[in-house]
Amino acid sequence: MPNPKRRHSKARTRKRRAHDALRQPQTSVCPNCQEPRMPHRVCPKCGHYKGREVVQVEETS
Amino acid sequence: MRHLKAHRKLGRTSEHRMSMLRNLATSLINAQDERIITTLPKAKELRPFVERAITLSRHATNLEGDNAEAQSVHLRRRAATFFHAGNRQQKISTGRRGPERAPRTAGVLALRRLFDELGERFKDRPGGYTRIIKLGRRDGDNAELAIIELVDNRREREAIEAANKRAKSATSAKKKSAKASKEVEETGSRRGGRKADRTYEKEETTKARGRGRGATDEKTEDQKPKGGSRTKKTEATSAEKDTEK
Ligand SMILES: [Zn+2]
Repeated sequence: MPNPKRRHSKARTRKRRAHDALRQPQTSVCPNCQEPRMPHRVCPKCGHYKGREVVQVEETS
Repeated sequence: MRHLKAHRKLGRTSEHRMSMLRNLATSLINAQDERIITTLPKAKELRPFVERAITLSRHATNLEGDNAEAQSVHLRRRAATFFHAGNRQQKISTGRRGPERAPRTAGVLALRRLFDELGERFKDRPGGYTRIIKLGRRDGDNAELAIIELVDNRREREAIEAANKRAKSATSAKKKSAKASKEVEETGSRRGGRKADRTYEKEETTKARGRGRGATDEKTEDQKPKGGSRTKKTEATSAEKDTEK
């Protein structure tokens, strides 16, 4: 069975992971309520999309 | 390679997939507000599927010649393949298994509505009878959800009428600013001005029945943000209906 020949240092691990960070998802500002929302999607806060269109009504939980 | 593979399998066998598409098509056409919420890939698969059926119904609106009748029947039969059959010939089981099963007629209803109503409505629309609106991801399985709806539906017409009405009242109230009113009038007449006269009356009645959601929402927008996190969308809408009643 293959086995590691040398110890894997913390530095090696960390250097490898230096490029693994996730990016913040891209958002745009809802023109109706000024909340951030995903682009090309209905605003989860106010249910608006493309100006006038009220797609669904948000309700308290 | 994905080359030339036009459709998704959606993790189903072909029978299962066809059955699901027929169910979705039936639901979309029978839906009271002409929209359904599904996952985005299902919506995208459904779109060409129902639109083919709608096109058939559209063809049925301008038949001419001696065999128009036969043609119409033929179109209906072709369109019937997009929905589940009524299954009238199924034996009604009344044995030990319990009461007899109700005949499955949702597909029949959809077909009827398709030819009686939608064909006429989409007569002059060369395709593109549906719209897909992305909703974001669902809690639980993180699936992307979407609304698929028939275009030119009642909510839309009401919104347009409400906009017309607003434009009209603006013109009558503010004769002082001539430039502004002219602008509004132009936009008003562009959006099917003929209906504008009936607008007021109609909106009142729909509001009373708790249906004029599109129109009423726009007015009460300012009070709307009640805060809180998002709940299930369907529940929210139905709850809202109840309160309006
Ligand atoms: Zn918003």
